[in-house]
Amino acid sequence: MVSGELWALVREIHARGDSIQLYWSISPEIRQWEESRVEKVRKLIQSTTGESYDIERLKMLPLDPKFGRFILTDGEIDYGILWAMKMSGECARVLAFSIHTNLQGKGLGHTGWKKFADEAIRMGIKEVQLEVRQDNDSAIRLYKRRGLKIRGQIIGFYRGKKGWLMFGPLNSEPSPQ
Amino acid sequence: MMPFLCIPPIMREEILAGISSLNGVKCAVIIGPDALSIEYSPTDIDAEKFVANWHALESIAPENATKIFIRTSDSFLFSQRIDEGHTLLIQTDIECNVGSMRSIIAKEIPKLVPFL
Repeated sequence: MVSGELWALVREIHARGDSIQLYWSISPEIRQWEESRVEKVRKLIQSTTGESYDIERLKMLPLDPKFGRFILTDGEIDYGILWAMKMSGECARVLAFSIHTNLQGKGLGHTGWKKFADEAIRMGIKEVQLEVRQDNDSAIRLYKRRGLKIRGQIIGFYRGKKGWLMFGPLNSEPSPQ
Repeated sequence: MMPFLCIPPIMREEILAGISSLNGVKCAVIIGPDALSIEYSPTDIDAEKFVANWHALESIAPENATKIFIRTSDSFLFSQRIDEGHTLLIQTDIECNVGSMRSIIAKEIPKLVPFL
């Protein structure tokens, strides 16, 4: 179910069309955000993944300040997120990677991943791990093209679906096809 | 007083060793309230790696997530709540029945509670 608020955002994106200038930027700590902003991101995640998250839990995520708090924005509204944490000295974990459904397929995932990977590599990260729903073909394709491989299957995590646990070297660019 | 204070960790170690020696269990790790391992068995495993992996998964688990487990080519990884602040992380071999193992582990968990 898509909320009225989300539909308003969709209409706004349509109204502004290609004139909006979107860019990936590092946000302040989530717990410093206004409640309404966290709620909008919660709804963004829900609309793109179908999964519902507790708002307090989102605020407590141990996101890395250097490479783990990317948002896709026009300076006012969050249209996407790439949140990650450091798992060990050389391994990062992507916790959430969502782009508004109306903005998917425009290369914004590629630029977001590149921003994240470039910054993480600069911080000494060499490997990355993440979870993805097994029916999220475009995301799986994006990750595989960057060298990630399926390491395991996650059961009981996503609503009615299984997930893949993916792991691999952290590459900012996709491998040649 | 010192010998008394030393008893809980020793008992905890023995109980955990008992769990990790159950048929099909590869290792067992107690995770504390700060999301760090406080005891693990056997002692030659990279417990922090297991814990970091699991903590990351649990921290972003959706509201509806229930009884999460990870299946890899050679193992299962799942957790059981011990009490409010402690979790037991278990890795088993791939032939293990996770449901049955959860029941067996659930019977062992009350033994750990007094020694946390």
